[in-house]
Amino acid sequence: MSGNIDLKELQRKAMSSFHEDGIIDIMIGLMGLIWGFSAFTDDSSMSVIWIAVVIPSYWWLKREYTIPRIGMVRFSPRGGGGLPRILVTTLVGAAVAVGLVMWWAATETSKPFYYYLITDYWGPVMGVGVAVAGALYAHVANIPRFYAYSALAIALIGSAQYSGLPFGLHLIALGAVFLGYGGYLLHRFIGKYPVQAVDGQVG
Amino acid sequence: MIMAHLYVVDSADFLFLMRQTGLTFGNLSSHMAKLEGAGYIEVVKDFVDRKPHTMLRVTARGRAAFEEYRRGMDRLFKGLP
Repeated sequence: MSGNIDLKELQRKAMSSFHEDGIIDIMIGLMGLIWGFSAFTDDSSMSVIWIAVVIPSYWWLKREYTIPRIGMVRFSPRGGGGLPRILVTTLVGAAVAVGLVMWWAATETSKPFYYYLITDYWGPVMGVGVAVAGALYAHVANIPRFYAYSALAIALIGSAQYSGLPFGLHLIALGAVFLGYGGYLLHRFIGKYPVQAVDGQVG
Repeated sequence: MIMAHLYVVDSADFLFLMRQTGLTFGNLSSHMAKLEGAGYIEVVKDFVDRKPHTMLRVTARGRAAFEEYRRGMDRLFKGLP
C-alpha cells in the first residue's frame, strides 16, 4: 500500500458522496419557500416553522433514500470533516455581534456609519452575506454546486431592493431553484445507486 | 485503505465503507474482523432519526497505529532514489 494516501482527498470524497443525493438542496429550497411565503403573509411564526419541518424531513429523506443506498457516515472536525469548530464559532460570533450592533444602534440617536450601510443597502448586504455563507459551506463540505448557488443568491437577493418586486418573491424564486435542482439530483441518485442489503446483494 | 477511510471521518457504517473502498462484503468483513481483533476499530451503536444504527469507528489505538504506519511509509518513500 502506498504511503502517499491523500487523506484530505478521501475526506472530500466521503463528504461529496454523502451529499450527492441533493437532499440538502431540497431542504434549503424548502426553507427559502417558507421564508418567502412568510414575507408575504407577515406571519413571523412561519419563519420558525422550518425548524419543526425541515430538520426532521432532512433525516427522514436520508434514512429513506440515502442510507439504504450508500450507507451512513458522521463527520467530525478532528477527523478532518464537518464544519471546523473555529469556523462555526466565528460565524455564530459574527451573527451575534451584528445583532448586538443593530440593537445598540437602534437605541442610540447617533448611529455608526455601518448601520446606515446595512439599512440603506440591505439587499446587496444580505445577498453578499448569504453568498459568503454558501461559498464557505461549499468549500468545507466539498459541494461545488453551492458556489453557483452563492452567485445566484447575490443576484436574486441583492437585486431585491431595486427590482420593485416583493422581497418574498425573490426568496421563493431562490428556494424554487434549490428545490428543483435538489429534486433532480435525488432522482439521479436513486437511479445511480440501487438499494443495497448489507450482505452485498442488491435489494 | 479501510483505516484511511475511517480515519478521516468520525464513524461510518458497513455499507458506506463498501461504497467508498469498492470492496465486497466478504472482503471488507474479513479485514474488519482483523482490525477489530487488533483493537484498531470499534463497533458503536448510533441513532439515526431515533432508530438504532451500527457504526464503525477508529479507536485511539487505531489512530496511533495508522499515524505510525504513515510515518513509516513516508520514511520509506523518502529513502528511495
